[in-house]
Amino acid sequence: MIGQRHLSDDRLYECFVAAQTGDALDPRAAEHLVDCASCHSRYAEVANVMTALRTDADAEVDALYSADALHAQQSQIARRLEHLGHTAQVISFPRHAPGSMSGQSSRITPRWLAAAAAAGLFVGVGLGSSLQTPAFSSVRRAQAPVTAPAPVAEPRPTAPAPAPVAVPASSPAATAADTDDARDKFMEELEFALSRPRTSELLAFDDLTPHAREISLSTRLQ
Amino acid sequence: MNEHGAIRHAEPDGDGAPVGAARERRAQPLTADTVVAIEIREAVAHGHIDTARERFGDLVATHQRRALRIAFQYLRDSAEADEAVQDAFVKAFSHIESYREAWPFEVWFTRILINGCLDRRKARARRERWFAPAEEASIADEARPTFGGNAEPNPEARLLARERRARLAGAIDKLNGRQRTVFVLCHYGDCTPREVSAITGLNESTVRVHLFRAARKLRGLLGGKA
Repeated sequence: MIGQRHLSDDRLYECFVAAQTGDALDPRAAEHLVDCASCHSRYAEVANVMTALRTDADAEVDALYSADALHAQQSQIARRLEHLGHTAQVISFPRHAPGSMSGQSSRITPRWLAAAAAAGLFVGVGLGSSLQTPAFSSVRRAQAPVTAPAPVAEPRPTAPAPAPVAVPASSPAATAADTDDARDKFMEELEFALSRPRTSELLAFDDLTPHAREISLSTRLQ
Repeated sequence: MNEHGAIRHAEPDGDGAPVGAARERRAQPLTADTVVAIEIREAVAHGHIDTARERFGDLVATHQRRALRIAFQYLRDSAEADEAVQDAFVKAFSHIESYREAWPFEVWFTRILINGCLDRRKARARRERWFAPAEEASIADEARPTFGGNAEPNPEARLLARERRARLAGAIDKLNGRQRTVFVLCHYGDCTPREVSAITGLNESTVRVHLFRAARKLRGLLGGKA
């Protein structure tokens, strides 16, 4: 039957594989290949395609892995085999040497210093923010026109004096009020002096810091 | 061997060959590399590790190029194929006591190599699911100069060869797992269908069927030309 019909592609390929691996060809297929020119040319085509595939693959691998690369790989495998029986070495966690204690103590001190400095800064900022409340600002803004007392003595002849405010002498708290008024006057003088054109550059800084008068007023209000 | 081409580890006779085939094989004379492998196994069993290592170097030199050819066809990355081959040799040496001479060392080693390559392909597929595939390896492989007399004579020939290899690699990648394994082992690993049967655990006639289908599909994909 094979002698009459052409060989299928699979049979041709089987013949090729058998020829490549050295196995015995099917005698009837071998005989047909000899007799049939068409099948013979198809077989040659299959063989060419497969041989070209193999040649290409060999060329590619030869190009990628030179003799040096193969030798390097052999050495690498030998190295890996040498270390095969050995357990992995565990590197212990680094400990301080006995002589490094002084260095350790010297490192701790700056840490404490830094912590103390940070704590001080934190407390200072907290206190400053708690003292600079909106009540202070309103008192400060409203204080000048309401409690502006008459100056006891003229600080500067050129400066305009604020309007005096009369305080009744028959009040029971007259003594304490007098003391407060004197203090306020003193503060007013200071503010007046600060508001002069010569020191106007410092007013921006002055606004940033709480005034002693405000602090005293707040203490008194509490 | 499952449908993705992975080769089963548990086999009827414990060394990867069907029982009947193994008995048939035992009657045949031992190959040279099998004799060397038996010597290595005995040396390891008697604690002569240095001798075993030295003898194993001969096996490495014998099978290295073929192993690289197979691994490269699977992985298409020279560095990864290099690592896969190294791993396979190290694994073969460390498990040499489980080697049985029912089949040649070549078959046993190829089985280890193929399993390693398949594991690497799976790992790569997992990586590429999350990360963009890196093109650096293939670019580096193509940019690598060729050595010896196998280099193409001119840039045009090199370019054509590169295109041809890329088409072939793409076509082989389109084969299913079993077809790819059988085709690579037969055509690039110089294995007979019987040896492929021993390596993969498939029936020999099944191996032939996969081989024919793979060849037919490749010829179709490549347009009848290599």
